[in-house]
Amino acid sequence: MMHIGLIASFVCAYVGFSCWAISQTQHWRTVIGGPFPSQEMVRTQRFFGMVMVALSLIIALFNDGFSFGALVWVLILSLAAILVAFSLVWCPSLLSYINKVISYFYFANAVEKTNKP
Amino acid sequence: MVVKDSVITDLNNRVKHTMAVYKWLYSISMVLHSIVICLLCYISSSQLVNITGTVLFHLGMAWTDAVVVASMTGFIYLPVILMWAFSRGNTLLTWVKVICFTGITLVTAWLAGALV
Amino acid sequence: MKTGFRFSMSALHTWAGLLLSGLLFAIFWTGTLSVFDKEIDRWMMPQTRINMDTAPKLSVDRDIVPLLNSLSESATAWSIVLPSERKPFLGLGYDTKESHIAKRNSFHPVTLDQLPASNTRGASRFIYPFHHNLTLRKSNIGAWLVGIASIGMLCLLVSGIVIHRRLFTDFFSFRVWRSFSRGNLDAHNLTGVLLFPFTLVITLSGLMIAHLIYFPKAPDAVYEQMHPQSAAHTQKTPAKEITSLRQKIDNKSKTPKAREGAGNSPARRRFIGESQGRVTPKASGEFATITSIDPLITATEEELGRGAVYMVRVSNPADAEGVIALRLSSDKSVAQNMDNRRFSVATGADLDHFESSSVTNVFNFLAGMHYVQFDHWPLRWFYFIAGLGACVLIATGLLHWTQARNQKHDGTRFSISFMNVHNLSAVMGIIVATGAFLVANRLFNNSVHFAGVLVPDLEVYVFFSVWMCCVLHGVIRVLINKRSGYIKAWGEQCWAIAFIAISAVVLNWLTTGDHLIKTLFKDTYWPVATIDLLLISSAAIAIFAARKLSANLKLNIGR
Repeated sequence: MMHIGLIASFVCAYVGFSCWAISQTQHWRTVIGGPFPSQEMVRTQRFFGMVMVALSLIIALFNDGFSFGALVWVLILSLAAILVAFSLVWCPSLLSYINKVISYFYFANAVEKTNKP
Repeated sequence: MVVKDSVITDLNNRVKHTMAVYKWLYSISMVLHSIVICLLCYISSSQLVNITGTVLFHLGMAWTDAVVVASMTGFIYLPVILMWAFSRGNTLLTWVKVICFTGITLVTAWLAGALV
Repeated sequence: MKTGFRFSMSALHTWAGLLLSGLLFAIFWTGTLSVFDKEIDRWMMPQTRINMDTAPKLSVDRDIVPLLNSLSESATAWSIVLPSERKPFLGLGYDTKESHIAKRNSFHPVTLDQLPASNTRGASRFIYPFHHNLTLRKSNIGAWLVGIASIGMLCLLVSGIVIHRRLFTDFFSFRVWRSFSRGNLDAHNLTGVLLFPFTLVITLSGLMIAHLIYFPKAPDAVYEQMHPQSAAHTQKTPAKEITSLRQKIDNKSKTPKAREGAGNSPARRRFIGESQGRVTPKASGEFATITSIDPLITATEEELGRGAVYMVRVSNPADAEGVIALRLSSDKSVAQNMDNRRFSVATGADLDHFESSSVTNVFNFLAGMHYVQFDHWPLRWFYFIAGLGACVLIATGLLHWTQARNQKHDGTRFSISFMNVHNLSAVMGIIVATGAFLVANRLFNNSVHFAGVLVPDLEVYVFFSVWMCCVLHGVIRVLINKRSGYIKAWGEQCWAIAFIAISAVVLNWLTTGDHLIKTLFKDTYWPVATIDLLLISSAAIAIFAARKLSANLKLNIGR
């Protein structure tokens, strides 16, 4: 039970950070390709990223209590961010899939993966 | 022409030799400068710790708690003081400000009765 | 000439990094290993590989007190460390009539047979002490060096953030497919920025734990406010008087701790006693039979939860004024638990308990964050991975400086050749030495002596000798080829790590019979299985790195 909560917290942090990463120009080009989205979409993506990171904190606190939860969350954030950086290098397709799923829920026109330059 | 060339070469060698000697002197003096500045920063931070502990005790904190809080804040004071001391490249200015600051902390500690 | 705060911070970062990174890598490496110190101990002490899953709970009255009575007559103190998951044996400490120096022995938690001597320092008595005092205990020299490096680390962390120009733009950048220098710098920035909360808190908390070493006069300064006469007496006591006092105390009890304590001022002794509840009660001289301890433990655990008591300390067990102190475990909280419950030896009546103040609890929380003694396995693994990340941070920082200059100067400058050897020794040397420490443990197989030298000491000599050999190897390689000799040395030491790691796993199997198939599937024992798996992973990473370096070397030579 404890581990499911931890995994959920980690996944939320990973998704949150991947949203932040993809919203940056150089990583958008790597993961999605094609024209860079509008400022509004970037802001929405970053807001969603923040929401996921906050959700990760709530799950960690609920799972492990205040003192353990806060400590676990800080480390989860660091490790999830590092994992996002590694994913950008070695499996950007995972991040593009995450972006597709998020775009389906939040963006009017889903951003399709175009041919990379 | 041969005589002129050898004079220039001789002078050049002398300048190179002097610079080489000065380079070692410069390195050693920079090392000593850094060590002494770090020592002065440590002295000032430990006086600040004593002052903090004394002030907290007089503000009503239990003496053991005052020692704990003061010691913990000491590890914030010390890196901040070190970074402040090394924040400008001017060696003379560094000495002036570090010596002044250390003097101020020593005097303040003495006035607070915390100079041990 | 460049000026400005950023330039000064860049110079501070460079110089502090060059001077302190070697020591910092050693501290962070041994600290990372210390997260699993008890598991490494199980690997190095096969006689303590005891599965606690099926072990029944020991009764202090029925099982332990009679054992202590048979081992020691008229002891002044007993220490009973109850078995736990990570320390699966009963630890008993007791002094005897012949000597007041406490003996410490381990006993099987079920049969209560004394376990054979482990004849090794293991991780808890070598790797962990190396982490906080470099095993240089004389006048706390090692602790001071660690303290200086740690303050340097704090300055390095903050200055690193200040000089990092594109902090948010490069937040997730890891351009490993571009040049080595770019990938290396990105790795340094990534680990530095993303692990900043971890490295900052771990460094700060490590310093705060040893605050009495680094700010020794703080208790005296505040105590003087309370008792000006006592403080004056402390300051004005002539050196001769202190020396003779010290000699008297030394003659009574020769343990190193007592020797250190003898130099403490009254203010310091009172501070330690009052803030940590460590008070040594005095004997009355009146005989009394020790009361039942089990009900005291049961009552405490009913109040605080199962497993709340990890240690029982009995001062003056046969005296009417004797005290039974139940020390509470830190398993269930991040904060280090310094609280205890105290009872009378004769009657079992409640005495004044010790509870940390809220301020001290903040300190205990920070200390607990550093000590990592809580029972939370995923968090322990996070610490381990983050610790390795901090090691990568330090190593990449060193490589960044030398690689930029290697490319520019091509081996012509002594300072760069020196740093090439330094980097190799600081990073690879200690890793090879750690592997050699484990291999030596299995080769000597916990025997008492080897070639007239005590095996625990011999293992330590092997550690330092192998480290020195790695330094020598680096020197020779760089002398042979100033341009790319260091790359060859890195590759060869990677192969050495791979060989040593695999040897350690094989030797564990040959000397104890606990191979991976057994410890994973047949007779599951996670501590040993995990260490074996980590050794195999290290070997795999080392082989990958060695092959990459070899390919890089061919490219360099082909240039």
